Amino acid sequence: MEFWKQLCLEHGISPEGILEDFATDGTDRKDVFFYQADDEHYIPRAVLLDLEPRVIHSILNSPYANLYNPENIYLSKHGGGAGNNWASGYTQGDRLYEEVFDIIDREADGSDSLEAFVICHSIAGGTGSGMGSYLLEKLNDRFPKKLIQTYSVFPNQVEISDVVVQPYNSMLTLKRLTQNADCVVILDNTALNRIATERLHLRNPDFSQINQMVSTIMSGSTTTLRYPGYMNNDLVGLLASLIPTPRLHFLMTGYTPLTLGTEQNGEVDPTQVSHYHPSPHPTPHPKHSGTRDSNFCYISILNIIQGEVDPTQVHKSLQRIRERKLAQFIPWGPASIQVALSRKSPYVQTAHRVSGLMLANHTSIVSLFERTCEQYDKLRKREAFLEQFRKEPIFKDNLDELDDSRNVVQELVDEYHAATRPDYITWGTQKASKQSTKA
Amino acid sequence: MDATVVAPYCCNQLVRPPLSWLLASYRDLVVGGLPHLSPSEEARLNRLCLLSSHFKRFESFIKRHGGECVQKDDENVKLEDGLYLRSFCSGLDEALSGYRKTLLVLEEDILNDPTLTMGHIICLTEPYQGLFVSLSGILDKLETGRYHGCQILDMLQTGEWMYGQPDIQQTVQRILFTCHRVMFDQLTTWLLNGLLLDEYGEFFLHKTNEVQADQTNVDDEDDLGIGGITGRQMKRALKVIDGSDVAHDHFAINAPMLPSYLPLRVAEKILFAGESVQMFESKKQKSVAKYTDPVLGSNEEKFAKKLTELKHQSVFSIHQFEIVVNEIRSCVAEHLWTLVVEEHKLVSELIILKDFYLLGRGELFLAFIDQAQLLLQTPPNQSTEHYTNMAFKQAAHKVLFEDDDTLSRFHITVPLKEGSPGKKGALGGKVETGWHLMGLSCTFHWPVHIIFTPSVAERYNKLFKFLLAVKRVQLELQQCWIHHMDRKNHVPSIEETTIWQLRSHMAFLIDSIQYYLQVDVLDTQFSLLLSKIQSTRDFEAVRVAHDQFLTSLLVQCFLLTKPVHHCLMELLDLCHSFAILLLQTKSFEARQRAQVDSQAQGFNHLSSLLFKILSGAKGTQSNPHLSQLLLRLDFNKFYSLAEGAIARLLPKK
Repeated sequence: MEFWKQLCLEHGISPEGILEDFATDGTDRKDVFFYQADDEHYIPRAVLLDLEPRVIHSILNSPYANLYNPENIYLSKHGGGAGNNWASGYTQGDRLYEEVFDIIDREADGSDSLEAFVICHSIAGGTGSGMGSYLLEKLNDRFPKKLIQTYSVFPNQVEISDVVVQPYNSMLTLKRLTQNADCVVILDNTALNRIATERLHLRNPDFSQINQMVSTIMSGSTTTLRYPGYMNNDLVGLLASLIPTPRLHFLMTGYTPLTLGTEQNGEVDPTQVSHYHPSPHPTPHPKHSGTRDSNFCYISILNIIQGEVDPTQVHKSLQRIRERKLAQFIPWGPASIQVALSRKSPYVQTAHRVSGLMLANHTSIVSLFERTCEQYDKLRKREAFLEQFRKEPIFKDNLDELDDSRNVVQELVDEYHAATRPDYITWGTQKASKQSTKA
Repeated sequence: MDATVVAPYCCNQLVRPPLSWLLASYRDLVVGGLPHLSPSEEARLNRLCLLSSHFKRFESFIKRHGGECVQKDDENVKLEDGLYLRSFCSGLDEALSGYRKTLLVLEEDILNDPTLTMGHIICLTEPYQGLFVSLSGILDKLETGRYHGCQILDMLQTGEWMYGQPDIQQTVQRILFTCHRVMFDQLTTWLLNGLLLDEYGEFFLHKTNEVQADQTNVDDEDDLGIGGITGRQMKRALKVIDGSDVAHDHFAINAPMLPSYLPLRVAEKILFAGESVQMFESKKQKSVAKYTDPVLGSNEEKFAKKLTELKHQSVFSIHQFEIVVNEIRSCVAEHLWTLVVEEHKLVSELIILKDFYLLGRGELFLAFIDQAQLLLQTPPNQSTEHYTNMAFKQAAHKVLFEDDDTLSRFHITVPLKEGSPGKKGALGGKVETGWHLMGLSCTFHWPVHIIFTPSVAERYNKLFKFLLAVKRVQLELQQCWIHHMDRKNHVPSIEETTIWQLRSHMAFLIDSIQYYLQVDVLDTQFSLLLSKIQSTRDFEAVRVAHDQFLTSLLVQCFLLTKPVHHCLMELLDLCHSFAILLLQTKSFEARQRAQVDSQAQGFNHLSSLLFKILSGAKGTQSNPHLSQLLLRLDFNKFYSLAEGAIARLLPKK
């Protein structure tokens, strides 16, 4: 888990969970993501779940093996994985419910002020999507007042995936992400790969490099929680301004400067939106770009700038962006680029004085969903590869769950499109009235 | 020798009758109509008498005021005793010496030559006629104006006699010189030792909240050793200092005493230098080991010499004076800078203040607001302050704030409103809750207390209250957001849409203000302040920079712009009551609906008002911060296009 590695580095915690000598008088809040055991060890507030042993074994063989609470590493006993089948993951989630929630409950009880759950998963395979979906539903039931944020890895949609049922998996998960999560940070493999090749000039970006980029984004977006400043000291504060309406809670990220390790990119002004490399910024699908509204716009932007930035420059950059119309905003409400300043970890030496993370709520995210829908529709029309799904309890009688998910996602797509228009505010009510006239 | 002696000699020749009745007692005139006296002789005699009566007056003045022991009960003593008055007298005395010599010469002449004519006498004394008139004028002015201390300097320096005949001018200059010596003596002890030796309240600096130390009988101060003070005086002065708590001595310019030819800026520099030295000296006595190096160091002697040189210059030169004062001031200022900025880490002190007063430690106040929410919702009572501080400590504990020393310096105050609790307060008929009244206080240690005076702390407190109020409302709206996120699986009704929309508009406004405050105001100004502190080595510059910092904060937080501030506070109140309504209502009935409606209208009204104020001030260069906030609020031109059109969007029922 690159994320925890990054956090350890930033907080000055050794791979064994011991605070390094140089980090003893920091004013960072290690307690947000770690708790301290009786023997002074810092232990991540993390639960690692998998249905197959490969990844977890690799963690247990890494220098960070002793960092985690061994009781929090849960590996399904039968170890066969979910076979890239959402339904299988979902069923196994149900079967393992007691054991898994024993761990989660214990972890939740051990937290003084639990605010939110953060789930990292992929939506393509079986475990992350299926079991992840199950967990999302159950977490929402059990902790209705707690926020749920996910970092969801969206599959590479350009190349042919080796997982043929990927569209089904994605669709089913997307329904839960819409209905059960409060905020979804989308990590689009397509975009990440593209950035890795185009911007960082890596010919064949491997997993660890992509993971490094992901962990940079994750640690960046939590920096105001861990290095508290004037505001955004809790997750609500961070998310509330980004998500003005309940369902439009899918965020994209951009990070500048994009580097791996010691690469030097020259000085950048992180307040400039144009410098960001919005990772999941899929090019609008040609099919839609002409026919449907292509005036995608920002619903909200939050830039978290870490490091020693000259605050007087922020205002100037904002002015410049506005004058040059570098960012298109929603027409139905006030919107702005919010800039939050945050401290930087003193323990990690970076080539750049300043780095910036952009969290953006942009309506173009919809093209990602549309592509998912498209691929799904192709498969669904042919009723292809559904045998494995029918074996699981949830699809035993019918495939309603799939169709229902498709509807939910379609609604989401519609809402995002509506959000590019000035009359968006009446969208919900229009729809409601249409439904009532139908009835 | 005495006027009455002179007169008989003068008149001896001419008038036979006994002089005692020839001369009136005070305003001496020859009795008119005497035989053997021609009118012209009478006039000449009168002229002589005038001179002698002036002289008599001078003599008695010197006798009355120049001595050490003055009978207070003597009703003739109209003037307050003082060093300046005394040295004025001695100066006057000195000025009369020439006349006295002339009289001696005259006396001898008369004794030698009984037929000496009156013409001779008049010839010798005539040069003093003009002078004596002027001197007498000075005395008149002194007595009628009741001048005291340094005022005498001013009077002498600015009087019309400074522009008259050169010899008069010289004499007055001479008197002024003797008076200036007193000032220089006081100045020297003040500048170099930080001691204010001023028993008669004559100096142009004074202690403001003076703790009266017992002052023993007055010694002779007139003759100070060159550039310094005698051991005895030193000892007495130290006693005076010891008597009062040094840390709380405040000095100020005593404006009525400040001579008009001394510019205020010079006086301020003098005040600063002496005050700083005083602070050091007093500390030195308390903890000798630590601060043994003198403030002025090896320069002390140099400065003393310079001051002495100035003292012995016959004509006071404000130019040279200012140069020396400047030198001393910058020396002291640099020393103080080193002490405060380097040794006592002013910057980290400022960061602590920013963390607390300016909510730099947001997470602490997040936890605190959470802890104290219920406690401060009601009007405070006797125990509120105690419990609030407990809540503050708990909050600090919760966020793992481990620096107990720092924490213990801060104390939350919840002053009780005068009058019965729960009385309608000043806030438009609303009850003043604990949140409205609470403040934060902080204790400052030596020597940074010279920057963080009570008035500075009060300004910090003002900012703190405002920032906390904004933060509270922001948090409340965020709670509403969580509430709303529960609804993500439902198709919203018109009503819900209206409400979430209102909420998101409110949240946007408050969030934008917050980001503006953090980035455009707090962090920007703070980084400016830090760079200023680092770029100078002058303590006064640091203090000025800090003052500017606070003032710009107050201005840019709109605390000094009445209409904006008022508008903001109303917005905050409105958002607060909206959030409370939302969080407390389970199901919306007609009554709540009406409430939300009126809140929505109120919000529209206020936000468009705010927008108008901000855009009205946009063009003016004087308030660039207004346009900064405007840029944030109207980034996508929603406000300017819709002119606060939320009203239009809200369906009327």
